[in-house]
Amino acid sequence: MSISNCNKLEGIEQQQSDVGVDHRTFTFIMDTDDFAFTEHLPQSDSDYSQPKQPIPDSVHEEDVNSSQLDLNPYQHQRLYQIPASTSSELPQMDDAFCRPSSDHCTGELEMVRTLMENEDVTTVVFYPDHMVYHDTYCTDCVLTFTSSCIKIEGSTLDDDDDDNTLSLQWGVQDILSIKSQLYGLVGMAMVTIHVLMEDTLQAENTESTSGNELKFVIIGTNWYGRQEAITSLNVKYKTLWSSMLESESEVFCEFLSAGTLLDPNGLTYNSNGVSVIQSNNTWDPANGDTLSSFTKYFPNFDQPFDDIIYPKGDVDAVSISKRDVDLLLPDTFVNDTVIDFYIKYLKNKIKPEDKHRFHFFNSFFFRKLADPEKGPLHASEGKAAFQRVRKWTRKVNLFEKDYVFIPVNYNYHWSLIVMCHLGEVATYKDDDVTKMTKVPCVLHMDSIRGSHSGLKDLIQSYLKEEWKGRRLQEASEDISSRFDNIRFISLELPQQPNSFDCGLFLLHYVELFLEQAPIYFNPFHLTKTVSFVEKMWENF
Amino acid sequence: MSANNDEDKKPAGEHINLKVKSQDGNEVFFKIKRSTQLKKLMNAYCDRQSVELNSIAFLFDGRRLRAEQTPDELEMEEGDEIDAMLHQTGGGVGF
Repeated sequence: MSISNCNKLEGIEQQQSDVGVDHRTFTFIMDTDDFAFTEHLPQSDSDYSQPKQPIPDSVHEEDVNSSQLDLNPYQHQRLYQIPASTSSELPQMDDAFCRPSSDHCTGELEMVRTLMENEDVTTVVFYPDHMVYHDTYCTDCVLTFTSSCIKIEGSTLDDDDDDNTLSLQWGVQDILSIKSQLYGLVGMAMVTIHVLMEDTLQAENTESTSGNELKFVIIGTNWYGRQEAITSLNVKYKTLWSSMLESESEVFCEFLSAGTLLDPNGLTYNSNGVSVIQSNNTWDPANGDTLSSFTKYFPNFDQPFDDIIYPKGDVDAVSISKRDVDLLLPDTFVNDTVIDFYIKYLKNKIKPEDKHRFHFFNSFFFRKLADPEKGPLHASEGKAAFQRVRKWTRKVNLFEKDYVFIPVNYNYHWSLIVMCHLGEVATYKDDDVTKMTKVPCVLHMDSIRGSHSGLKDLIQSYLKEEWKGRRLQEASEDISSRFDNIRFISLELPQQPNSFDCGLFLLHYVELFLEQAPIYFNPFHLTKTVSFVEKMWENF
Repeated sequence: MSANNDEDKKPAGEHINLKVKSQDGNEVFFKIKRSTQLKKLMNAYCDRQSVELNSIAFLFDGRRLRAEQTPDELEMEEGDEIDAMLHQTGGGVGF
């Protein structure tokens, strides 16, 4: 990416003003059946006609080439993005693409827990992101193994059904088989449980192979420990269980081809349950064979599908098209839709009672906030900035939130602003800041630290105006001017080792921050509360 | 959206005038039926501006608009402003 390209984008933005007389004005009359424009002054500068997409696309191509010589373990992370489809869902593109992908996007370490009380293991509980039972998808699942039965609970995604919870239980005797397949490279186990169907129990007229499948994916380490915990509940589990390990490349052929839908049998396991030899390749960037098997089998979403709306029924839902999904390919820039989708996904995972503590702006907030004429880095006129986004905060009071997230995009780079405890500014005294529980501050998380410098003034002056705008009646110059000095902290975080993954880093910052977000945030106790800023990330 | 709301609004007129504002301040006015999907407005706007529909994101009060939504559904009022913004992308090489 050359500087001139970047400037091209910024240069496109011209001054806007609410009362300008120079605005070209078109009027269209639209009816349900037809519409016509009644007035049309030709537009001289065709700002929008410049192709935007080709710029990142060309970069992408270059990056693909260069990175083929430079694949490193870091790229495993990208594999989490590959949707694992399930055989039962193959005909339904929506399901195959959208839902499973969500679970691979998460680390899920936190979601998998083995409950051990003292030494005595009575249940083993999993919290997979989603499960597939027969042809039903469900999310927010709880899967419990006890010594006598398996229970599942979850919510299905049927819109028109009021009661969309799924709750089922099978005794050990109703389980036909359990198959698990460990994908060591990505720390993931795919488990398929065959159970007797309820109606089969009565009808008894079906072949012995019949039954329903319950499938789920567990991501995390120590799968064997969990498997052992389950089999120790009841020896019957052990007899039903067949585990498989496959050589990494084969695993990925299967896993990824399933994702691509190229091979509908991709998820069929060895019917006899015989383990395949584990080659246990350690990752070797110099190993061209392994490398090609990875790049070759990344999903190829050739088949078109309808836009996916997430979350369904939400007035602020994101519409995801095939074009957006294609951006999940390796070495590709992600766009605002991917960013907004995943942030919504993370938001939906927050416990209902905690949701009010957070506010997430979508990825256009910053673009709107920043001065279109001077460019984001020079926007110091807080009042104008506030006016531009005034309506965005009409229904939300930022000063009541513990954390407010702003994805930042400009110069083809994504970073993240997290504003903490803004309301505390009114009461906060700077005397003994290390003893404070809640310290108002603005955190900047940038995977290329320093590339988005200059946000401090914009954010501070915006907050000042937002405060004034929200509290007209008690407008106190004293308090609002405190926002001029609100702490702005550029965190030192794991950095992207390439030139294309900042969007994913942004999302992972949000994800980890939400996992660790304390009730009280004090940047002076940063590493105690939000350890991800210091710890090396696994898989990188 | 409750049915009540729809009824409340109807007396105000079947049509509504909406303004679509681009990032550079250009404004285009549309008159559209409250019950018409915004798809129609989006297509017309992109046609007039000679841009591809999928290069533009439409926002209303900070919320992303989808083609199948209607002014009724979004509780839009006379003269409301829709932002037309370019989709954003990024990877980290832009400086």
